[in-house]
Amino acid sequence: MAEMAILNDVTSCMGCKACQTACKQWNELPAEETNFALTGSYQNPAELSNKTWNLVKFTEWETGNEVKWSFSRRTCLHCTDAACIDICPPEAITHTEEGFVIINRDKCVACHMCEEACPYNVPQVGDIAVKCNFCINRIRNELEPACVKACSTSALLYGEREEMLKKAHEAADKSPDYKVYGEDELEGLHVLYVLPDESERFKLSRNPQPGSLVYLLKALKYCLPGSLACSLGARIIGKGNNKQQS
Amino acid sequence: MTNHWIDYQNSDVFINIGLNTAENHPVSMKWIEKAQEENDAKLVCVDPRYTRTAAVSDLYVPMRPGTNIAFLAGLINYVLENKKYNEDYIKNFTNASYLIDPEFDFADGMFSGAQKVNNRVAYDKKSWAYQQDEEGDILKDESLEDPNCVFQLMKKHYSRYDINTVCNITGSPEDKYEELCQLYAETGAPEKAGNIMYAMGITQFTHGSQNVRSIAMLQLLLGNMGIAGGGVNAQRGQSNVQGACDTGMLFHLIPGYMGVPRAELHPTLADYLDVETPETGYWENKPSFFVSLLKAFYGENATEDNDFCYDYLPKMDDKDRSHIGIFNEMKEGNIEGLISWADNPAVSGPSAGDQRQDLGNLDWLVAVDIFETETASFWKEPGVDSKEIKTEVFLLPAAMHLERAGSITNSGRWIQWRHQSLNPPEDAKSDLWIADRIFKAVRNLYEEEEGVKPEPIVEMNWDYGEEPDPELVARELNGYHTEDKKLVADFTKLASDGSTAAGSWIYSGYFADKDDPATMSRLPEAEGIGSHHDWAYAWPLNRRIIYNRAGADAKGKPWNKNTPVIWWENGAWQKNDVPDFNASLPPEETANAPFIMLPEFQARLFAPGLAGGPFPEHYEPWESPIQNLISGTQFNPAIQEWYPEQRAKVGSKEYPYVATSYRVTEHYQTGMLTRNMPWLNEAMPDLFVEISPSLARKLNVESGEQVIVSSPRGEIEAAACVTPRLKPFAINNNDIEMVGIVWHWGYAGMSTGPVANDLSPAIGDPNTTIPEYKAFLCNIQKKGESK
Amino acid sequence: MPLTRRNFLKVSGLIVGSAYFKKKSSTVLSARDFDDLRIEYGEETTSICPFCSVGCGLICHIQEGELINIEGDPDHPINEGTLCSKGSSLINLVKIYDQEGEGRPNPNRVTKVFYREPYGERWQVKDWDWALEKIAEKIKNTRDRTFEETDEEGTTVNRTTSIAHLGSAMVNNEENYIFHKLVRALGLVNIDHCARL
Repeated sequence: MAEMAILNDVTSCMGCKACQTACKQWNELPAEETNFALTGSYQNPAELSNKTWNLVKFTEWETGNEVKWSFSRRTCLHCTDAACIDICPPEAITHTEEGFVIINRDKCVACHMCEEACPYNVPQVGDIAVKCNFCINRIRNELEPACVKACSTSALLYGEREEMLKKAHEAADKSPDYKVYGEDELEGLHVLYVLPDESERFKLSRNPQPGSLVYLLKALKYCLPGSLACSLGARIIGKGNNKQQS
Repeated sequence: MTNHWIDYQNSDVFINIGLNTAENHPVSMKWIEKAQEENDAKLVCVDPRYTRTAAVSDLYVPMRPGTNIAFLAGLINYVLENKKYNEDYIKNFTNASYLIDPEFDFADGMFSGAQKVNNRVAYDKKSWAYQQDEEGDILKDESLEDPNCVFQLMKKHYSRYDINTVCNITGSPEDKYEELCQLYAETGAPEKAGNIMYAMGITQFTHGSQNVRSIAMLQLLLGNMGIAGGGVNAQRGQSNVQGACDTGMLFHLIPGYMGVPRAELHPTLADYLDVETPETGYWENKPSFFVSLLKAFYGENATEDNDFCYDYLPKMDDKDRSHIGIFNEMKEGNIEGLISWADNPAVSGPSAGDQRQDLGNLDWLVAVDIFETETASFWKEPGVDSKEIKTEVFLLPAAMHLERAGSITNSGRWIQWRHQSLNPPEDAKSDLWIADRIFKAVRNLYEEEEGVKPEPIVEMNWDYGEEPDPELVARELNGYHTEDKKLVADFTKLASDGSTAAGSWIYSGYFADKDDPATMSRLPEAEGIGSHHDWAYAWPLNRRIIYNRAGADAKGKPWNKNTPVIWWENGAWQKNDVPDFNASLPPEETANAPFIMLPEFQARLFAPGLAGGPFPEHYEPWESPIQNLISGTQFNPAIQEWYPEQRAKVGSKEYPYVATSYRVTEHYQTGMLTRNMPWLNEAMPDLFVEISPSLARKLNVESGEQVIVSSPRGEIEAAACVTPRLKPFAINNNDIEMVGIVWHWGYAGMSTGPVANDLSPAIGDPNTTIPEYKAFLCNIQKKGESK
Repeated sequence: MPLTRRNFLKVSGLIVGSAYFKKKSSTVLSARDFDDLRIEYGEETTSICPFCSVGCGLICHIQEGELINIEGDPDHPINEGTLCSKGSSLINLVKIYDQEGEGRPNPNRVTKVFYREPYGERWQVKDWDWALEKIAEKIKNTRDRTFEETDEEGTTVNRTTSIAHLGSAMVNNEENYIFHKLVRALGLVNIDHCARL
């Protein structure tokens, strides 16, 4: 089947956070404690966590006399070249035919390696590793992802990746400042962006790199049996293996 | 709203002024975005700070809080000076050509006829009258050249508001302001639609009503009323604030926007009908609406012989009994009991700290809500000694919206029915059940015991079943023929002889078919201009764009042929909406009469009705850092000053900053719902105040640090948000800094915080007494540092 | 993919009869969950959002009397299935999720009649009959002592200025209407609501 994608047109987003709460609602995720004094910003929570898979990032900057304020959705970008899949010792992380990156809860051993591998610091390990699952169950039932369904402007669209790319370029053509992100990064992301400025401003690197230990960890995976790779890997990256400890 | 949400798709230019659409009505942005994408429409955001609406706008123009009249006056002047108005429109559809009494005058911020009464100005409006001939016909100059005609008087009044003067008052950058003027004036072209959207950032001022007037005048000049994509669009803040007003939950009204009976003016039914019914205009039918209301209230007990029980309706005295007035009465000890339904004045009232003390003067308080509000628990406020508070409090558990049935009316006047989805938990009950039981309990007492004047209670028509049925109430609200109880089709069927009953005439039609009521209808429009007539029911008469005769020219040709509303073609009126005029008449007979609710049938560019003047004039807010730059009259001279001792002086050193208050997307009003919703508390956890980087440097404060904000009424502690989205306003060569305050918090619920309205002043507009929350003075300092 | 109400319903129809096993709601999916839609056996009702005045349509999914999901009504012409952050969080009014992801009723919901006596320091739980009788007595007592049948001019006024009433922008039209009848029957003139605030 055709590869699918979400297009996040940041130039159309008003920062209402409907996608953030719709994600919580559909996935039945608990709220976490936040504190305005910590962020000093409308962005809350401050970062993704095992309870927050979809976060609206608030980015504010000035050009000359003008102030700019943009809102971008931070989630798993569902890479084609997904370091988390490569590195996962129990092979709990796989691609679906749509191109989505999904963690299988029955196989995950909470070794934290995907956390280390991800160039975007997306997966969050509590009892097990969790992140956006693209609402695969909704998609398989002909519904849009909960975030896209909630979005009242064209800031979030869902469809075939080719079509989303076409729309992304159409939107980006409106201004020389606008950039498309995700077309070729990591052989193509399944979350595409139209950004109102250089991608680095939104912490989206044009040359995304997995964590520095990833090659060592990958070597472990191919040299050692799964469980040993996991515990040694966890020790190398300095994090406990939650599932085994509990 | 004169128009409605989906109609936003038909606009060419939007001015978002005194509201923050993206944050407070987020889903409506769908239709604004559609207009931007499909019509190349432009969204202009006018706001004292750069908001989430500004972030998606095509042009952002900053403006100092409380200077809306100057801001809009500059636009009006630009349109007049550059002849951008729609001349045919104003000649045919407005009072531009009417001659005004030659004695009418204006000098130094005051109109002719000013008289000081009880420390405020009450105008003798004799010199504001239309000139009339001996037959009583209004004298006009169709050429618009007579110096006493409305058009010339308006030009003269507004000529003082050139761009330089305006920007010196408002602090708007001249280039941005001029860009807005040019852009918006283009909607004076017949085929262009300009849409002005506003909310509490227009109304919550001591000159709020005149702000709204300014918007209406600008829209009339440009021919933007009655057309698709145009309108004066008040975006109401709550899901059913429209309906609550429609059903008369205001001290000065009864249901259907009829004036409350007043002892002085209306001792008898004949007096009421005589004084309140104009000779011409659609309100000439008021006797039918009013008598039908009395029949709905008093049923068979209301007869022609007893004036339909008119005497049972309580009559108002001459006090202002709006929110500020009621709490002032409470302060004076004149009120023993308060019944409050899903309302939370302990957080939302002006000078809320004082008003919480006033609640302690009550003997009893009945609060009905789904959560424990600050109002219900005012005696539990931290720092308050509950052992000192005498008030007996009942907190009654209400059903939430999913747990009861009934209709609500959105900002576009769509009356939509909500079916019951869930059962209320434990002892929670619908508000309908609670009101029904309270009424019956009181009626029982008056039937069983001696009591003072029991008739208005025991003779009230009240039978909605043992378990009250909202559909039975809906039938009464819709109206029925008293003889056979058959529902009336619409308000044109109402009569003044007692043969019909109707709770609120404007709702007639919404429940006319009890088996398939229009309010429950769910059929989307297949093609058209987005009116969706078969989706719910819009008052009046299922009309989606009101004053729609003005959507076509005198000959009936639509101003815009792509989005015609009602137009004359092939010898008949063609319709994309329900006509707001007598459509059995041809264009020439309706050409001069599109505004059917007014006795003169033509819209008022010059309006003698409001307190404060027939033309809006800029005054500073009650509290201001500067002297009025355009006249010697500092603030609206018509206002009642309730607590003059609580006013910070002009240019106060103690309170040097302008404060304004507002909401954020993630919370709702006093927070009584949303602060009990964990995902929203997570997304916006605390009250904060926004300041510019320049003010932050002066205060040595960084984002996230705690600050103390104070006013003559109180003080609060909050985290600071330092942001370049706020900039000081350059006013008369001085920089004026602003403190932006989010106000959703209080001491009850899952997320608690200070009550921001402890800072705001209890002062209001002379017409509405809406409090001036959007511009007052404050001080701010870093926590732990002295002033 | 524009999601219309029609294909939403069609989808629901298709699923009926497919293998379904009830499980604890989970925040993490495994491969076997891909085709499971947790609302598939939910009964659908419509409503309108209680927050701002846009009037967005809602679809509620209810299973065995329990609310399991709320999202925008795709058929509704104004919101076309979308909502804002407040609307998307609506289920929180009914239930909240603990740190393990278990749903439980919103603990702050008032579900009993609460009464605070004069100078009291805490709420007492009461029943409806007690409260209604007591409230009716309070109203009658104040009304009877303060009622004015005529004013100083001798005009019939039939009012009491000693009781105030705040209606609400959060309740239904039919409810506000009978509030209006209730308070006029009692003779109230201190009537307002949060429209100004």
